[in-house]
Amino acid sequence: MVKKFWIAVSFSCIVLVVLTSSLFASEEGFIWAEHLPFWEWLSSFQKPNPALIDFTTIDAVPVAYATLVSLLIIVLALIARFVIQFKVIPSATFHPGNVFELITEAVLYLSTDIIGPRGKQFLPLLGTVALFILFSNILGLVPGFIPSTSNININLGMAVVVFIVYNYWGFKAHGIGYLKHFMGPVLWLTPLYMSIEIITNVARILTLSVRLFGNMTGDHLVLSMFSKIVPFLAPIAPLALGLFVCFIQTLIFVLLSTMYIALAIEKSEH
Amino acid sequence: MKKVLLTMVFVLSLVSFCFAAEEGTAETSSITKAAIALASGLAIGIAAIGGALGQGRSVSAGLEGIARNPEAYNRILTVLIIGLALIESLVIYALVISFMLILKL
Repeated sequence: MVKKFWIAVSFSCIVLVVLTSSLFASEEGFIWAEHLPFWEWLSSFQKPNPALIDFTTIDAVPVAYATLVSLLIIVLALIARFVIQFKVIPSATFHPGNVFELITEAVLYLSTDIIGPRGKQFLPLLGTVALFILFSNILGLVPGFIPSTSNININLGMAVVVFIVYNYWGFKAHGIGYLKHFMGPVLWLTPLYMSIEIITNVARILTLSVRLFGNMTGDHLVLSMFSKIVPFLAPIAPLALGLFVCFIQTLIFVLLSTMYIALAIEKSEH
Repeated sequence: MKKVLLTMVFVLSLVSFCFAAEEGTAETSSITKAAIALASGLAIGIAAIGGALGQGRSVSAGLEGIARNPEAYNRILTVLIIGLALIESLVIYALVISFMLILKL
């Protein structure tokens, strides 16, 4: 019964993808936000950045999609809180609470695995980041939507927040002795180690954001290229790869954030 | 309430990072265009060589580990996927540079 449901869902998804793949093949590529009543106002916020590439413009359209993703997550959270009765005894058949439990447990076990028992307090941050990146990546695969993580400013926002969080907790756990992490093993090597560590820490912001940005933009470009050349059935390959990459990239982002936090708050054994 | 205000002030002070725009439109002569095109092709090409070699070695090591100990499949798979994504991210950085160059043509 449940199996037939999933077969029907996947079949209809494939049919929808095949039928709507010709939408990718339009001249400019169309996005659903064009039909919004306030599209003029929304697209007037573009501030191109000629020094960097085109995708790093200050643009309100990916922010609009990010708002959509946030609203979706809020609606799902409200459903999980007020509509679903979570049972203590697991049920034999499909219970929609299982999906929410799955997502929460995945992030929770990941963080407690790496950070230790203190990992539970980072669940809001890591869970939010994971859900946001996952949903906005997957929404970008649907024809007519763009992944909101394909604008580097949104990724920079998340990476800067993670940077601030792990430094703050590092200072809170060790006091001023947190700076000892930046000094090398021997005191007179401190200038060398300090510069390397500072560069590493600043590079963490850049790498976290640019990795996600590059993956999402690249996959979106590949998808649009494939759909322009052969609109029928060929986009399945970049769609499948894109789906795989979506999950992997959220895992990498959350895993790396967790590892940075764990490195900052670990009590080193002497 | 104080915490909320403090975090809001902190976050809003970072807004200036977003607006780092530079002016400068240079007129590109044809040799500049040739150099840009060559550079953008070479960047991603050479990066792909290194990335493919590294990923090939890591997958082969993963497969050897699975062949030796088939019970450890899940743990090896997790580490393998993470390693592949981290190696691939280096290629993605080169791809971003290639994009930047292409759009300067």
